[in-house]
Amino acid sequence: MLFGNMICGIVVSLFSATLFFYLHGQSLREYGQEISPNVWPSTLAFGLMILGGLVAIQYAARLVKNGMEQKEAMDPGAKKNTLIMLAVVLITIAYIISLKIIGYLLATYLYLLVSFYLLGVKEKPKLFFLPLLMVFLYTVSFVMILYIPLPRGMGIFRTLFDFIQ
Amino acid sequence: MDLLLGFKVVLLNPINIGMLLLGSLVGALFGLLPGISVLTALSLLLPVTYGMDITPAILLMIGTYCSGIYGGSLTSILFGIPGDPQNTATTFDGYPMTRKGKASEAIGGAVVASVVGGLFSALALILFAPAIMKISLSFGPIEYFGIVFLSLSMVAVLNAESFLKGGIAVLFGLLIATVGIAPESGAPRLTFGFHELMGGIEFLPVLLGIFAVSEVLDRLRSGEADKEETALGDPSQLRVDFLSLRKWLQMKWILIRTSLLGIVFGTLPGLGATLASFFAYDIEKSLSKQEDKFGTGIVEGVVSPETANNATTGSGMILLLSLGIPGTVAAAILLETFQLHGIQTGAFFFVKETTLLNTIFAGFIIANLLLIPIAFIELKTMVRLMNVPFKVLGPIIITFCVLGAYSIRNNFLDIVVMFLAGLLGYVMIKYRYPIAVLVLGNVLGPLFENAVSRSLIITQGDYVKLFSNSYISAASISFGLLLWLVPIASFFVKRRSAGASTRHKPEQP
Repeated sequence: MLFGNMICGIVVSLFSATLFFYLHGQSLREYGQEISPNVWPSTLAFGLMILGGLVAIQYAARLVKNGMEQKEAMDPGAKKNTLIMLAVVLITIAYIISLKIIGYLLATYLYLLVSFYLLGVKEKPKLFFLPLLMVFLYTVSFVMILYIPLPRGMGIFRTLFDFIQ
Repeated sequence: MDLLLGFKVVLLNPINIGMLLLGSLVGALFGLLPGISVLTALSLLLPVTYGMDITPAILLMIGTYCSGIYGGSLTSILFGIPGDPQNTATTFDGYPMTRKGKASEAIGGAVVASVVGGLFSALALILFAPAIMKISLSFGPIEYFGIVFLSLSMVAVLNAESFLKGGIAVLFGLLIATVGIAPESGAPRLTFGFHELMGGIEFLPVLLGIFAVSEVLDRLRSGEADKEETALGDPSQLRVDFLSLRKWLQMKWILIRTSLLGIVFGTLPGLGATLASFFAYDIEKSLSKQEDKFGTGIVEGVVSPETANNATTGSGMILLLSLGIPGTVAAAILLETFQLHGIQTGAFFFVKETTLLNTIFAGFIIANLLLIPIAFIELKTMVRLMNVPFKVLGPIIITFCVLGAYSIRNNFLDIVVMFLAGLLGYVMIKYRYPIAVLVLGNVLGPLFENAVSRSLIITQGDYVKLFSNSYISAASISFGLLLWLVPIASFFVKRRSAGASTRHKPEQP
């Protein structure tokens, strides 16, 4: 955790420094004369740079004091949970990309089906019918009651969507 | 002020009362589910309010908020697991009461305490919001600069394990708010050529990602997906025992003190329901003649935190309605509800939207009274819903967030922002950065930037005049700076005393 916190501090500091130079940080004395639009975000980025650096130094000092943390062997359960979480992240990215292509009806159904299976839902009725129920509820609540159009997809999927609706 | 009009608007319109009831049920449900907070419920409901009129929308949110703060007390009492952070102190005596076979008394105590605290809070809102609004009429940019600086300082320093992390969270929130068109010059900033970012980053996708998606990811990492349905036993054996009037009269000073504490903690930015409940428990324990019995299962140990946490609901709206400054994340979400419907809070709100204002006041009173029937419904029906495993709930929450983010302006960039905010929120939770502080920084960002730039125009770049031109600003800035200086000073004091004890250590032969 100490090492991770130190890395976080370094990342914040480097990100802010990049942003600061991107915005071409200007002198605060320019306030009152001619206000550049970048002065405020530059100031914030500068502040972040300093605080990120201080966090990195703080945790680096603790690491030096305590010695490098003994990295405990991750127990198999924790490793499995992390892999599951990463898999859900990847599936979610695929879901977001596919929304535009195949439409929300099919994308949401497939996403829920795959996620439930990945997370360990074994009962076939739950696995196949619960996603269907959720897609139906989303259609009723977003599209029919609130009149919010959801992604319909492209090409043949759009035709399929229009046919179903 | 015509409070009767507000009651008529709520009670005589079936849609309005329906939304208040629905919100109360949703809030109770989300409050009950451990790990899924009332803030998640409010975030998920926000896109749903987009298609509604402002009155039912705000009543839905008020019902959710009031009920959600109470809702988690049931799991605190029955299982020793707080449904939400503000119900943690309730476990100290609530769960021992269950083990002694007094669960019904604990539940009844929690309900009535929540109703009393909530009603006191609603009263504080009705009395103080107009009064503070009148004072705020004399506020200019310099005063707003001071007050927002103090609010952000309180939020950052008091809500983080480290003031450095709190500072990073608040600055990052302010930075996100700068994306888009600069208010003074109209020039684009941090848009990186994307025309979709010209309008800035929408608050709702950030909110959905930061609270809902990050929570799902964190719970997946901690193994929630592996847990099978929990065995609850038969909830039909449980009931709500409201205790005798005599008992409540014995506890009247507890109710009054903890309500006042909750009102103060709700009004001041950065404090909130969780701190209020812990402080209330500790204070009542120290004042009690039965101090040694606290923690063993006495109803006073349940009543104290539950009164205090519900007493933050209405009072949390005081600064929001009167100054347009949200002091808590829940108030920030309610502010977004107003803004989604084109309504600006602050002094103008009291003049232009008197009917809505009275409806809000009436809504808070009715929402707190609704906690009594909600308690029965929650006990008999919702407890069964706790059997829904997270492996089913988690993906459903993510799909709702994705579709909710898309529904704002039918823009895929909002979904991307939501997802990135979710990943950021997950990292922040893992490394113990306060996510609520980032959200508040994001909400207060435009107000703060306007106040900074206008203040410096007025003072012609002279920072000293920010202190000398206004007592309010001087006091706020001074107190805000003190909040930052205290942890810095204590760090150096600790280092010095650690160094001194090392120097005085006797040498080993």
